[in-house]
Amino acid sequence: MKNVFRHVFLLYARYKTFMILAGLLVLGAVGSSLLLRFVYHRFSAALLIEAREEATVFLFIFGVWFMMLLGIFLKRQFASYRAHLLPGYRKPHIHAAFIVFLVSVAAVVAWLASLPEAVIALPLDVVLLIALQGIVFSLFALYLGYLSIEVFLLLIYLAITLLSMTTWDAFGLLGVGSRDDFSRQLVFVCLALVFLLYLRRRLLTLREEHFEYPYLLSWPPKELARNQARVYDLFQRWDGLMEKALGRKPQATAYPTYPKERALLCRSRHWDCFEQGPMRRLLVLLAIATPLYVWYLKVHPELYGFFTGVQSNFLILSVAPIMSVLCFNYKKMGYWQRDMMKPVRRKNILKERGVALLTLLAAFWAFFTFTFAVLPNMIIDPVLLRTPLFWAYLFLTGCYAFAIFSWIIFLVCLSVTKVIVANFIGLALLSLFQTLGVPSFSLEMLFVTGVFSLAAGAVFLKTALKRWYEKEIE
Amino acid sequence: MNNAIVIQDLCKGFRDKSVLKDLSLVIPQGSVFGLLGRNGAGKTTLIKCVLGLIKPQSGKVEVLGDDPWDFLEETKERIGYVPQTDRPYPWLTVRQIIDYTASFYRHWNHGLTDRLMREWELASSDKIGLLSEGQAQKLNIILALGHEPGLLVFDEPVASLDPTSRRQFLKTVLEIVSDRPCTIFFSTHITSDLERVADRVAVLKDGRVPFAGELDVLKEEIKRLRIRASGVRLEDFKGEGILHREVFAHEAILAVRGFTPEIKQAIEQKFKAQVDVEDLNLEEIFLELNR
Repeated sequence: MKNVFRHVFLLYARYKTFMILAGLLVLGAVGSSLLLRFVYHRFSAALLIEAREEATVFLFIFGVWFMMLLGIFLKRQFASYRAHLLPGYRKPHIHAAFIVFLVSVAAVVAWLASLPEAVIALPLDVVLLIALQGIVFSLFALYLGYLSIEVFLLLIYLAITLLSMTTWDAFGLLGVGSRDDFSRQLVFVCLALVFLLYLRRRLLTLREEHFEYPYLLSWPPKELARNQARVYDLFQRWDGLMEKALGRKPQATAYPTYPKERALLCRSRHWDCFEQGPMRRLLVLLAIATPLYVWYLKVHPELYGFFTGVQSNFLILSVAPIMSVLCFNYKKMGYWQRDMMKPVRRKNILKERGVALLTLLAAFWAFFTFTFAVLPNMIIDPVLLRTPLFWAYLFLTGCYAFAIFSWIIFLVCLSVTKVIVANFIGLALLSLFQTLGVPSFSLEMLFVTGVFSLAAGAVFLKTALKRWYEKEIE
Repeated sequence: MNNAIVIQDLCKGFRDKSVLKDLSLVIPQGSVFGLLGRNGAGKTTLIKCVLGLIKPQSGKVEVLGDDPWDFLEETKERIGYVPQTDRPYPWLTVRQIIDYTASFYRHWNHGLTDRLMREWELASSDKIGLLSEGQAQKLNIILALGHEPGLLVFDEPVASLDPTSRRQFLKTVLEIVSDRPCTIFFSTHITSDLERVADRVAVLKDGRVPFAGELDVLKEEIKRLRIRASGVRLEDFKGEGILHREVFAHEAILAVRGFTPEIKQAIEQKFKAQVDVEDLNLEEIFLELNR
């Protein structure tokens, strides 16, 4: 059994992406600890707090990525006939993952403990919170394939509705060094234990017929198309119930024919057709949720924290539209190779696909902006809507969404791990800049940064178009 | 003779679709058992039920005297499985995945795996992610053979192999059977391969097994009759054993199951015809059973 453990650990050690990320985390932790100590001894308290925030967000982003990778790794190990047929397979893999998890949590705690006391007091609930978040993100990755299409969007909608009503800090996701409360600690301990036991039990018994099994290996795209078909099959059952409740007959989705002679925007629709079922479900959800949301805002206006949580604004207005577009298009990736064989020139396919994606991004950004920025302020603070700063800020979030989305399009056509990691660091830094620098911006600065983001996005898109043209699509 | 696999009244379906219907099958120990069936006949579902990867809705499956849903560690040591496609851990090399797999078993024949790697031209330093479909399948076969299991289950193992590799694979299967007691249960579309190695076959059709038994018995049982006579009509040939019938101006062709020389005599007398009996190869039998 000892030998098995060694080989299971070697799976991690030989996984380059995992090791690069682990190395980045360690380097980030050691580097930020040294930096914060240096700032503590040489500079002002305000700068120290600013530096702490930056280091925390930076490590948080990589920590989330690391935990998600751990979840994906677990998927690979357990969504396989090996889990059932190889003697003594499951326990060493679960225990090895748990040890990796504990080591990473211990590393974060050690990092926090290494910081000067003026920077951070380390209450127990923070340690537990870090552990809990790690488990949550691993679980999230485990179910990522399952949450890949419209369900993901619906969950974003619900989560953001909740988040926008409170502040980001209240959820504790970045609340390092915050309250020391026994009841909170107890809740975190219980939640962490429940998640952990659930994960262990599920992995010990996971079989091919469990609902998450086919969604575990949603990559490469060859697997994706088949697995997504199974996901869709599950949703069709819900759809059937809804159609029955509405007294309608289910309709097959008709894909629009390719309009050869028309404008680029019209032609792009061919590549951007969605199933009617998910769209209808989304509209039904919006019809039900929006009046509730408006009512809630009217009853509890004090819970709406726009402009008090910059991170949440960034996530809602810049990141959520991107995630939504990616989720809506995720399923179609399995058909790219087949689409490339259609009688349309490769360059045109790429351009039209790009236009379709950007149109959808604009639509989602408009939706999120209206729902979570304009509508609440129409109810709570109408005066704010008349200030140019408000609109300039919204303009900037849109420009950021465009720049980040273009960067992601560029990023996904890369294949060298080191370059991908370097780009990801760049993206993380941009996010940091957005969450930390923007609150102090003047109107002019907001506008200039927005225009700069638009220009950067355009450059990324142009480069991505060239690279996608050369890329082998398997 | 003991039985390696016993299946009784097995039923399995997915949502509204019933795939296996009251299926019963016995696979004797030491046999090379081939499972034939069209696409979607339920071959993979049957294999997965046999291995406990999916749960039957009703019926009983016993593998090496154990319940597949909850195999003992000792039973797992005696089973080798090759799925249709599998590519574990693309970042590992061939040698690394072999060592990793070997670590789970008490016994591993490194000499055998090294020999197969050489014969099948798999370099130990090759990355799994860079192997072709056929090479990846060769690796899966090596991984299933390394612990020298008593029961080998292959789900269309040679579909992605080239003719040379297919021959090598079949040669290896025959060597395994001749060297030590081993039961091989495999599904395939390639009937010529089955004919070469299998001593028993089962044909899966509409979730049931219309035939299961020795290959020679199957070949004796199903014949094609060429009846030369004028005035015969399609309605003249009715009955349970008739798999297929065609009537032309002066000739009728029948595929008959449960053939005996008496059947030939009866037709000759009834229609005053000349009847030629033709042997069928496995592919032709498969086609006749699936019409």
